[in-house]
Amino acid sequence: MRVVCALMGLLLVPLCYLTVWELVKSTTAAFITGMMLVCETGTLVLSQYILLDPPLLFFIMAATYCTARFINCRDEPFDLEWWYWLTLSGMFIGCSFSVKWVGLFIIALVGLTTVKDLWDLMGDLRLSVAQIQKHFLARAVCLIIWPILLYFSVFCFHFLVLSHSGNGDGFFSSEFQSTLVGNDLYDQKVPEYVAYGSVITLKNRRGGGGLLHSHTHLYPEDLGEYQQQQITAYTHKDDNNKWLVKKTNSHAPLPGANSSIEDVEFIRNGDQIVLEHVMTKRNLHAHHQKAPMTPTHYQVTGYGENGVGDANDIWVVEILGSSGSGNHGDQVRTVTSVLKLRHLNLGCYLHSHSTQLPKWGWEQLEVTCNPQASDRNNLWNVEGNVHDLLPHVSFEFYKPSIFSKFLESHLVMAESNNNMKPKEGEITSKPWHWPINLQGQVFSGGDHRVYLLGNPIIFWGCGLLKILFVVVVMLKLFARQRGYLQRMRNEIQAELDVFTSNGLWLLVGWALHYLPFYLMGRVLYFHHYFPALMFSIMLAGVTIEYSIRLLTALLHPALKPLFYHTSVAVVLFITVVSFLFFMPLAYGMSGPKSDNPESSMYGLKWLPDWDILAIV
Amino acid sequence: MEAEGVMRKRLLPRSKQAGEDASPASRSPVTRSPQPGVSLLSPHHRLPVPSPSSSSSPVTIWFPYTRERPWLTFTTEVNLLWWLALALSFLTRFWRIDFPHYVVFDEVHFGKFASYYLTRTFFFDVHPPLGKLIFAALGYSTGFNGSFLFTTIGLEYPHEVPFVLMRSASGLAGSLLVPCIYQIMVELGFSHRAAFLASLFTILDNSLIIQSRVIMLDSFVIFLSYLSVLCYLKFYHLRHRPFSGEWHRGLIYTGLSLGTLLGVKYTGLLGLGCVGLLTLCDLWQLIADTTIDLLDFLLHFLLRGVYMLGIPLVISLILFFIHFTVLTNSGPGNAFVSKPFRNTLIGTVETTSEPIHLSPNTTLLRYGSHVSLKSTDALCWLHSHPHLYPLKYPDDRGSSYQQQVTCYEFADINNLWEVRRPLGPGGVAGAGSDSHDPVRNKDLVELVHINTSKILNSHDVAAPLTPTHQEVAGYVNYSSQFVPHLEWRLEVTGVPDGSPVFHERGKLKLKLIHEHSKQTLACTGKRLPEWAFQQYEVVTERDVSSTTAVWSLEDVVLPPPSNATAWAEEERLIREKTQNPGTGSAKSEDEDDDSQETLNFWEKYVELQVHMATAHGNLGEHQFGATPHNWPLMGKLLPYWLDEKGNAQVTLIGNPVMWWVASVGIVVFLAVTAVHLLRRRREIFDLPHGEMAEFHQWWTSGSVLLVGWLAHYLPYFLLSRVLFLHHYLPAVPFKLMLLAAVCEHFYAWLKRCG
Repeated sequence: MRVVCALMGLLLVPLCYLTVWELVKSTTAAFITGMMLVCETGTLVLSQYILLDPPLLFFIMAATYCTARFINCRDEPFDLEWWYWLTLSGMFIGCSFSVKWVGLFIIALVGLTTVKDLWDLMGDLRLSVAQIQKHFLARAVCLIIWPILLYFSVFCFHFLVLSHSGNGDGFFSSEFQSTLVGNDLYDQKVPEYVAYGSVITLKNRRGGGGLLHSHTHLYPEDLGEYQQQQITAYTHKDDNNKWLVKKTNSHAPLPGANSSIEDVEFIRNGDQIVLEHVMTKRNLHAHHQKAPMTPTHYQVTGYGENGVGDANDIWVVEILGSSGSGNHGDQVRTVTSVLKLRHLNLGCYLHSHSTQLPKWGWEQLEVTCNPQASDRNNLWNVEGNVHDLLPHVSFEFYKPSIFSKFLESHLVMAESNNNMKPKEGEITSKPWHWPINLQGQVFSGGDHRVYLLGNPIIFWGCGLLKILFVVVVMLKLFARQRGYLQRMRNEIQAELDVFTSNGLWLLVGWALHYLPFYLMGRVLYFHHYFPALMFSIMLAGVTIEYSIRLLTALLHPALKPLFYHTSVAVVLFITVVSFLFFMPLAYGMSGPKSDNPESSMYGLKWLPDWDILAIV
Repeated sequence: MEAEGVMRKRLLPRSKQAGEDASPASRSPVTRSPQPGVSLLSPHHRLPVPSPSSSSSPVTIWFPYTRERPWLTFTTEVNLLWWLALALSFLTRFWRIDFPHYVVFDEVHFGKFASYYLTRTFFFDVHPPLGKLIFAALGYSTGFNGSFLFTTIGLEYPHEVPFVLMRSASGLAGSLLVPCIYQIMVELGFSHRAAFLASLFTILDNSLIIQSRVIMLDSFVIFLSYLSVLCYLKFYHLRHRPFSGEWHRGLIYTGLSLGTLLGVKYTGLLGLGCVGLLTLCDLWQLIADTTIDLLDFLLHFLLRGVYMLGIPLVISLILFFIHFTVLTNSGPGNAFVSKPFRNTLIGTVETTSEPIHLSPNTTLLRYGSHVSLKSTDALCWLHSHPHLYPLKYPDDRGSSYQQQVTCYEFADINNLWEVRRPLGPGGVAGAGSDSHDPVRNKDLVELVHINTSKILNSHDVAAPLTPTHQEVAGYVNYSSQFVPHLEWRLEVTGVPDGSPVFHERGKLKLKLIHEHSKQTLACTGKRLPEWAFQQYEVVTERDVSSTTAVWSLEDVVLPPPSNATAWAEEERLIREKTQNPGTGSAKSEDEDDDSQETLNFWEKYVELQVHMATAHGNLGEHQFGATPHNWPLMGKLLPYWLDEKGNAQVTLIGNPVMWWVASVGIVVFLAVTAVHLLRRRREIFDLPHGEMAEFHQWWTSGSVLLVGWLAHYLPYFLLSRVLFLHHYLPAVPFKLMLLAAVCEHFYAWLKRCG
């Protein structure tokens, strides 16, 4: 598998080369780009291992290349080649989006390119409206519908393959779980209705919601005067999720093993119940106290001893029917009934949301009592249901369609994506660290150390060239606005146009793959920068070549070839030498640390945050 | 023609008199038998004043006269729509502005700050001074002395607080916003119909009305934002006469309005950004003008920079100069600024407990002294009065029902306590308990409140506002379960245990450790409710090293000594004994210098700006906080005030119809523009004659409004602090104007169709 990843990483180089060639039609620029990519240690590290990044980078670059090819086919629309590249770019867009959601950014780039392309076509008055419609439809089918189909089929495949229950179950709704082989909910194993004496688990209806959970740990002291047992929501299956349904009168006998089925009393809409935590024998309780993370809600605790608590343990069952609220006599069905649990004294509703508790709560989800009745996160359903006397029924008819499964798994993915928080002591990075290569990421420690760090020469060079490029574009805009540009010779203008327009395309590509990270709430790592780096390197190659060409043009004709080739050679030399210096980062360092003169990395810890030294 | 023109000029002085003579005739129609020679001199030719009746028909005038403007006339044009809008806006903003008679929402802050200005007490706020200074000046003009502190929302205003006048300042700004909107629409090239429509939308927007009726800064901010846009547009229309006097004046007005805007609130930076964007676009157009050489262009650029950034800076300096000049007394702001800064304030007390030097100014602290203790953290005096803690608090906790002990910011006879030896068991005074022996460090003492004779006590009862701490009370013996724990250990750092304590007014820092609970007397800095007259809460604090627990000894009054010479002798002996170790006096001078270091105006200015910039993020979560994506559709409202007795309330809510329609209007604007652009791309031109100009007007003026809205809205997505619905208000009128523009566009379109 590493070989496949490495192959994909390897293919990045020709793709970059070809893309640059498609854009500016300069072998030198393409070659410089290719060499820079070859010598980029970070990309090298990434493509050596079984990660999602090599395929992602490959698909993104392939989509970029195909789009560039497609744009260059514009003179002969609707011929075979044109269709070929259009379809291919659609395919790679779909692929990259199927690997990671970062693929969304390449869609934005291709989308913008297409909009610009269509805008140009609109201005071409030789084309009839029907023709433009044809252009538009072709693109819509190949770049929108076709990738979506691809994406959807990947997911169908995913569901087909992963048809068995696993440790991801808890993230999904009860309905979803009932389709998984091996899950408790798969095939008739559960009583249909909940009765007093049932041992149930309660699942929050929110996408990715957890099961109502408790454990012997108490709320910490500084949250208020009552130190009672924690109640949380937990996404994994656990014996601590089990709750016994009791009557409010704790002395009323529950049907025992020797009672008959006639003694069983079902729970109906509007009943007052007490939920006892099976493992700790404490009751679900709420009181007039701020919740730990959400001060506008009430705290929910486990209270009482051996199932004997107080009046604050009483909850009222409210079933939501199709019309919003169920009839009075409705019974609670396993999985399909949507419930709200109202606290009798406070009038608030049992609530769970995506806020995590800190370390004292094992980073499980907070459970509160929400005074606002209409909150969507107040909805629960019974997932597990065990009762000795009740017959078990089939769950077959609950099965959700593929579309609702698709939708739900996306909700769950979005939820957990946003909730990714750094683990204890983990090095996280901020987007502004990345282009300046401020710190890397430890890939492997021990004897054979691998450290993900970009080749600093290339990173910083790319940064400087980007600034140079922006300056050139601004000067060009100024010159055009002032009318200087129009006075220049035509071929210079044309060259400049090719340079700036293609460079701008690459710059937009870089910005689209980089800037959105500033808006993300989740934890970010250095490797998120690499798709943007591809564009950055291509822009650098294009800029270097153009500046060398520009300088050459100023020289005496006799010196021109000499100067041009020397400069290119110097650039390539610097690239290769820097690679030789930083190579050990990728191929693994062993032996002494970098502050030791014998180390392969001696003297190369140029920035204090590079952890070359820290790894032992 | 030309010769006649010259002749006419020469004739002018005389013709004036002729005109006066002929004035009766001027009222009659001037048609007599034709006389071709004179016909060219018809009044129409003579005077530029338009006179509709006298068309250029070739009639002969027998008695030629000049219809010339009489002396001392003035013509005036009354735009009734404009005045109507103004009147309506005053009506809506000022009607029942005195309601409610209670403190509403953030009047808590801005009213309080005005009071601090009037008592010249230093405070800290993240907003610059101008708005608050205006409120303070209005208060000052009515003789309000700043004694009312606007402590909580819903507090009733006493009659001496000029809250109506203060609210009127907001009301005035809110009312003047409407003519600004009208004029901006006109300047952008929209019709008066559209301008009136936009003004009407603004007049009828509930949220803007509410904001114009409370003592808050937002009304000023909104008005000044739009005023600066208007000034800029006026200036922009002078672009054909660069560097003329009017041009300079236009720039200065723009700078002044931006300066006052930034002097009220730093969110005015969004307004500055908006005007800045327009300026940059204008400059970009200027580059294309090759008749302006690059040096001139540089001048264009620099002058705009100087006026638009320089004037605000100067205004800011002036405002902070006033701010520092007025606020000379130390106060709640002390905690936010550095020590040298605090040294510039009167009455500063340092919280760091340094050993008091045995200077000749100090005297021995003796038992039987009447002392007052000042909290170095909250700057208030330990206080008690003959009122009891309420039997029950609103959250059903009980109190000890004993005498309140509070912390009071003003000098008062009730701040005096007697230091005395603890009584022995059974309340029997030990031997020599009435002698005035020196108090020694780590002595056990009791503090007796002079006026009520209650003894300072603490016990295991939750404090009123901070239930995690113990209550402090003046002990009242109900013979109930409350056992008195009256002994406090007096602790002075830097003085050896058991050695006598010297004091100098305000210099001695001490802590009082409650002997029974080993906790220390502290002021939490929280204000107690009405029942304790909004004085600060006093509790005991578990953390003995807490800075809230340091008290300074202020007044020390001793009954006149019966044996003065003996006391002086005793003091001399002790002084000699303690000075023997002889810590060098040089060191103490150093320390004195260090603590006396002060800042000049510039240093204070810079320091305060840094604190203001960094303090924004420290506001916690708020129940009614709303995220920006909630704003345009008004997802979350902001309650301002709730009547405690009835159902009356004030809630910030926009006019829902208008907000929702205007939000749709933005989408419609974008869609219409997109359709226009696409059709023009296919060379289909929908807008009639003067095509380019008309489309250009729609596109540029519309984008100005759109950019204004975005500039006042989008930046909030990047802020991580807690935000409220009222932060959106400066963007709202832009949206309403855009709606009016869209309405006019469709009106014109319908008219063309029909």
